[in-house]
Amino acid sequence: MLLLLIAPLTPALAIYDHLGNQLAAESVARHGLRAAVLAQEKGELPAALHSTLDPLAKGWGKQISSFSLNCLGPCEDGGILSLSVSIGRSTAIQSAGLEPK
Amino acid sequence: MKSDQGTIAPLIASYLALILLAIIGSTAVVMALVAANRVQGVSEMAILYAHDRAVVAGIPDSDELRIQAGIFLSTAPSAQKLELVQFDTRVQADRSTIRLCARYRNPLGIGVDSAIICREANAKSFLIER
Repeated sequence: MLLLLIAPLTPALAIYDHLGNQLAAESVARHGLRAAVLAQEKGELPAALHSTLDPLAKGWGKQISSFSLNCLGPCEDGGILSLSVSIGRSTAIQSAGLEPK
Repeated sequence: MKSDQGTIAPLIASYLALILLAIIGSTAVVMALVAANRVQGVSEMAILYAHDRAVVAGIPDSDELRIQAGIFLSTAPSAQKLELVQFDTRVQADRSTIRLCARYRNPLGIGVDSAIICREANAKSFLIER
């Protein structure tokens, strides 16, 4: 009987975990992209982006599975920078324009 | 002495229905919030991109602002993930504004099938004293 009452909660926990991952990925991608844009405009390649993203994800109690930073067009002259962040099976992508020179 | 006889099946069924309703309801709300945040994020980045490229001596050019916003929305990977319905740009003195509307499709397929989410974002020129 108890099992019947508790059973529906198991998929619910899985769904909430997935939604939590999605919210975290969206937030980390948004804040991480801002850091990457600032670093890029200062002429620093955001090689240490991992060290920026990790604390952001830890704030959500999550761990980043993978991330990728891509430039659409010329990175040096006003292209579009995109950051894709994966947490668990959730992926979020954010894009921002770099300042034209 | 008499004893009552019956079943607790209706009680269990009500409990399961309530649990299911709570799960579906809260999931739908969070997913819609995520979608609204995405639209807000894209509109903020689009207006920053367009304002940066349309501004001359601190004042954005209205036509150029619309063109540049269109370029961002058609090329940025984050914007391509959205089902954009329409966007409007306007200029007021040194301030640019974009209003972006995107269609949200409910992945649960229960209740509201789809909805339009509209968000607004602004960018403003400022002078850096050197």
